[in-house]
Amino acid sequence: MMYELSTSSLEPQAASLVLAAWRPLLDPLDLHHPWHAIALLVPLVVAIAVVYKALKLPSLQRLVGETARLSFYIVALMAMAAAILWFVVEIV
Amino acid sequence: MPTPAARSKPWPIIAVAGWVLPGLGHALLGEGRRGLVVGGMMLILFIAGLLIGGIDVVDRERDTLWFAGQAMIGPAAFIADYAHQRLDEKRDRQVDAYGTQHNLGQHEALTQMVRTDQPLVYRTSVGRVNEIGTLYCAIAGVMNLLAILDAVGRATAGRKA
Repeated sequence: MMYELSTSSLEPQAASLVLAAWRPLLDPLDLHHPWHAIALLVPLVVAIAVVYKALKLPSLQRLVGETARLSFYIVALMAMAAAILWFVVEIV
Repeated sequence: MPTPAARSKPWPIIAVAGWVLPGLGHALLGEGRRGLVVGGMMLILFIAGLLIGGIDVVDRERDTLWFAGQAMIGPAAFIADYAHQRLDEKRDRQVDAYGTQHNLGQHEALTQMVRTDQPLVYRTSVGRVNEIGTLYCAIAGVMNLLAILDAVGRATAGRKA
């Protein structure tokens, strides 16, 4: 994933050098495309859903299914809100 | 299901435990699995934020409001901030030395070092990367506050699992 996010325009040898240069915690990830930021919102949504459902469910047996459902709803609502806002900004 | 003995623990202890180590409040109430899932996920979120944006995303001095949210994850936020401030001091000395060598002010020296890809002690994150990393860490902290309140609620009300 690191290769695809930051080095897609480079040759593999150059890409491996760029990957080797990244120092965890000291250097930020090399993310410049807007879709990278949007993609990183998905793990955040899943983490929020996991924590929320783990606190609210009486038993953790249905945690995976409930988390998946809540994550889908959140992402779908965010996408709808983005579409509506795009329409308002670009069209109206 | 929390045992009666676990529910008898005073709620301040549950709250402090939940702050010191995310999920520990629930574990002390006899809900170890719930504590592990909640605490583990929040710590993963916090560490992911640090990996995405770098140590720069936790900054008590320059991003005080965001740090207020991040601090709720526990001592981890203060440790990260302490490390950030020490690295800041080290980088300032590095930039000053470069500036003295090339007869530049501190700001110009840092700009030139970044433009010429000089090896800095750490790199400041900017733009979306900084926003996402800061958000990850802050959300982890706020979610821990939710977990602490839930644990305190279970301790005081004696709720069943």
